[in-house]
Amino acid sequence: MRMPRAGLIPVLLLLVSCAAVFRQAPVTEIDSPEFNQVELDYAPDSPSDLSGLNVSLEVFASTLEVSSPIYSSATRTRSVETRYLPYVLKRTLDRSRYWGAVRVLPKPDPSAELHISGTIASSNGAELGLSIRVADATGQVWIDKTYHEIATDLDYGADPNYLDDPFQNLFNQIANDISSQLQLVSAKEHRRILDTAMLRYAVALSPESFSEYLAHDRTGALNLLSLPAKEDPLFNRVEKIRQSEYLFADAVDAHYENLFRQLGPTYAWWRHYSYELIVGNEKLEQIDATRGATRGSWYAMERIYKTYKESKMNEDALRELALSFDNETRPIVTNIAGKVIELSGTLDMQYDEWRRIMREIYREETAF
Amino acid sequence: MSSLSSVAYETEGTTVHTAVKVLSGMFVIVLLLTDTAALAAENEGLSVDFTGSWELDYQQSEQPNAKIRWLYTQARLKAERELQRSRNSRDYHIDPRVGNPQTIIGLGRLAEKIAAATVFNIKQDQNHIVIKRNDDFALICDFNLGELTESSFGKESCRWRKNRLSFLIVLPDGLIVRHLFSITPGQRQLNVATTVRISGGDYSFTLNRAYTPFAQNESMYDCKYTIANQTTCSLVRRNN
Repeated sequence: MRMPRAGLIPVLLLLVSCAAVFRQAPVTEIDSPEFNQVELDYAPDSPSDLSGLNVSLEVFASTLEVSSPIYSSATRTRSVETRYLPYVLKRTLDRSRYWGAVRVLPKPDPSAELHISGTIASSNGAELGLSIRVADATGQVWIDKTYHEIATDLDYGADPNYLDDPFQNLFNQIANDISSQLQLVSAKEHRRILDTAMLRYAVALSPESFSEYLAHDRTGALNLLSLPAKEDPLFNRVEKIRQSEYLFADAVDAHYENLFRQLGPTYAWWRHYSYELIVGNEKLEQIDATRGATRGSWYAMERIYKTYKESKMNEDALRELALSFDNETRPIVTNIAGKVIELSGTLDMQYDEWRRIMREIYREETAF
Repeated sequence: MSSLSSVAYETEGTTVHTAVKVLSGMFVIVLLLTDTAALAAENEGLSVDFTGSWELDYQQSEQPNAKIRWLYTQARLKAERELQRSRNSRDYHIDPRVGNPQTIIGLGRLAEKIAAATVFNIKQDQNHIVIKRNDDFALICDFNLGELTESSFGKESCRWRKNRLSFLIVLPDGLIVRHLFSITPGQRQLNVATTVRISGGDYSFTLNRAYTPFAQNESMYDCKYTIANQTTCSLVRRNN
């Protein structure tokens, strides 16, 4: 991979887009336009009726499939990235002020008003590729794109700061694309998304009571057939349980924030060393023999090994941190309907347990 | 040079003749292929257990400076002989671009840095081994994987070679590093042969180092790393 020279192009971004137009099936379009700095679009100061959708960001998947995660160094780092990168996107979406609560969750959220999933296609410090899919509660796909950015020297300072992500332009681009789609949503559609999300949550709790209100059409999208009566006690109960769900989701999201802050500094160094090794090796080819570090010189060899060693040591630190993080997932204690519930185990386990308890509480309280 | 009772004692592959320069590029590929696929059925290594804490035994290990000096002298003598032979024979030709004995010094210095670890903490089970080294990255091997892993940095592989465990690292610019781990019967000594070579080069340099077991729990402190509390140590209570 030949890298662009920073001196010639200040910030070179390569965004490969596989675009989906709102209300149309996703269309893959490979395109390589060059972008300069991507500024984040902010919501206007005056609040809009259309803003405020809650966003559920599912932990990313990875295209890299290795049977044994302990062996592959790439996989070890990737397991951190699948949880770290969604949080970078969450922070970007929060900053844009277009959205209600933006939460990172370990699994798909049945009550999501807007659901974002992603797959890491490539990530090595020198480039980042993310396939992002955004769909609303009705099943309409807003975005289905692969974003790709190549970093330059300007993206890396001497002392990398994780709060200043070298691929921030990519995250800004994703956030801007989503907010652009929001502008196309009518007030009626907005209302329908909120109602459908609520009913999807109700169906997840009690399919026998609420399935009749929703139906899939030929395209697979969910159609809201009708709404339960406002005074329907079963539906009111669902609304209350959903409020508890938000509290739980906030606790889970706090876990990812903690991971972001704890792992961020080490991850930033890992990226930095990785970039240095990939790009540095290419630069070495261009250095004239009379100017020092010639390709094949002992100095060059030592430099390559030193960078390799440092990046591997960072991988080790990342792995240890990630393991400790999983082991130290604190129990979540919460109070629902007068019951104190304590969840322990990994975050995935806690999430599944939570869902089970929610269904149980609903059945207990609505049983005749 | 100190004598070694090591089972992993490695000698240098000195001159790889240069007429096959083109083939040398293929050397890495062949090395990697043989290092991964060929001995998938070679399971005897699994009976070897490296688990434990090991510290460098300076007396039993090679001294880098002494080895560099000895190899350099040997290479110079050989080069002189070849030069003499070329002067005496019309047909005998030496490619002046290769065979520079100075390479040995560079390789030796690099090997010394790469094999600098003085303490290993090794955990091994049926499926994998994790070799933690002080001031260095961990060497990790999944015995079931048997494949090359390719990263942005280069290629890595590991495999059993009879009762020895080999880690191969191929980095940009043709830098090749191999660590060969073996253990003496009764687990009295761990031997690590670290070989450094440049793809297409004429020389390699192997540094043999010996490690003896030590009981890590003899420390007065028991230290644990957690994110919440960073590293915390507590005094170990001993029952006398």
